[in-house]
Amino acid sequence: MTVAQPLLNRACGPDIAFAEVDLTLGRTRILDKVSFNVAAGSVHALVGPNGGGKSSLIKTLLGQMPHHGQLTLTWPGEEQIIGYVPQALEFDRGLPMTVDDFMAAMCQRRPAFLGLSRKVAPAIDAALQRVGMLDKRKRRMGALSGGERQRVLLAQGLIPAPQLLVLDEPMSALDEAGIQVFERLLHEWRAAGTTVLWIEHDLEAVARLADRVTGLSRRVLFDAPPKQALTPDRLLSLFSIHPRSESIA
Amino acid sequence: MSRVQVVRPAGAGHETLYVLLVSLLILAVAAGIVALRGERHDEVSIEAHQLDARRDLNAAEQGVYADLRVAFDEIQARREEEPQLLAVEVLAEEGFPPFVLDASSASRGQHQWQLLQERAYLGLSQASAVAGSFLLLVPEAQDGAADVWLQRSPAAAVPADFSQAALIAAGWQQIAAHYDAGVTRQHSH
Repeated sequence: MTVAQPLLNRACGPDIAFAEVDLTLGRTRILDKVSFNVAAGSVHALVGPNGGGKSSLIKTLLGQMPHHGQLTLTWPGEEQIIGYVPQALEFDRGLPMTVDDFMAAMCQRRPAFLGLSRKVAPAIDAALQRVGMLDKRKRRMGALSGGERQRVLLAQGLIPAPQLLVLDEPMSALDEAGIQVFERLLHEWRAAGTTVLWIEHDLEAVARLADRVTGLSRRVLFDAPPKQALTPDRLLSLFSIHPRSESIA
Repeated sequence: MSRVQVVRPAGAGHETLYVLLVSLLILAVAAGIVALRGERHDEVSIEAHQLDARRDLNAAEQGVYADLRVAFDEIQARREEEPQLLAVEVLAEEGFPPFVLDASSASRGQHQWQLLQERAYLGLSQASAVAGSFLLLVPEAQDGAADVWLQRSPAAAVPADFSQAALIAAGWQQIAAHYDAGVTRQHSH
């Protein structure tokens, strides 16, 4: 935690506390007494098998699930902006929507068909520049590759500058260049003190980039810095069909 | 400076509560407006010695009563020129019902009109089954309202005293007109 310690002092992101969060949809128990903390200004990774409740946990955090239990965000300042980058975007590939149209629809109040608002245009330019999509802004969204589309999704998460960024498997669709862009962004967020909650399947990337990692498979199986958490035993347990919870030292 | 935000569960629970509260608020506001702005239509009850001009008179009496009120306006107008009340004969000559003797007066009970003490017209009915006897009290003031009394008894006589108590004692009933509600919507007594 030598890296995180000085950052905590100037963290502008919130501290997130999950306390005994339960979620049952229909008769399916999706989350079972999930308790862990996300430190302010840290990059917190969430790993676990498919159907383990990672995306549901994020939807719960965004206030879209009928959960039980206490879920609190402690914001250090007045600014309370949450950026969200979804796993994928479902839309008709033939939709005549350019990258600019999409960014306008996401970032401004003015209808997108009236063009970019002068107020947010510089921010959109900067965001597209940061993800390296500035030269493809006139392309149709349907004509982009999966990785490029993911970069556009990342770009919309940057406007307005968030204090908490929730990323749902951002790297799964990214190409090599996109991964480099993402890693650069992650360093920038860390430097800015933004809290990042990040669902990821790439355990190598988690070990390299995250401050702390939580293994989630209906229950919290571990919650520790990556060096301690990502041991073969724990990962085998995490991705087994009958996960076994263990206490973390 | 730090602010704690609790993420509330999504679901119909509190939204239903808000909708319920808003509907209660709308009801309360509507009830308040009705209570504050609504007008009461209370039926004005009449005294025991009074008759309702619209409901308690028969057709002949209503006709006489309406004619008396018209004639009364003329009597009051003439008092501006001459303080004396018009004689019954003058009213009959000028053709003012109910003082004139014609077919309609005959069918309404053939009242015999006389002027009493310069302050009242008395019409004694000759057929008390058709219409009662009328007494029109003319007020002192020239802009006063007519005061009409009715007695259905065939024994109606010239009243000695025109005070309200004496008239009531003599069996007269005051005709009261109220304009409070449509008579067609009233229940008959």
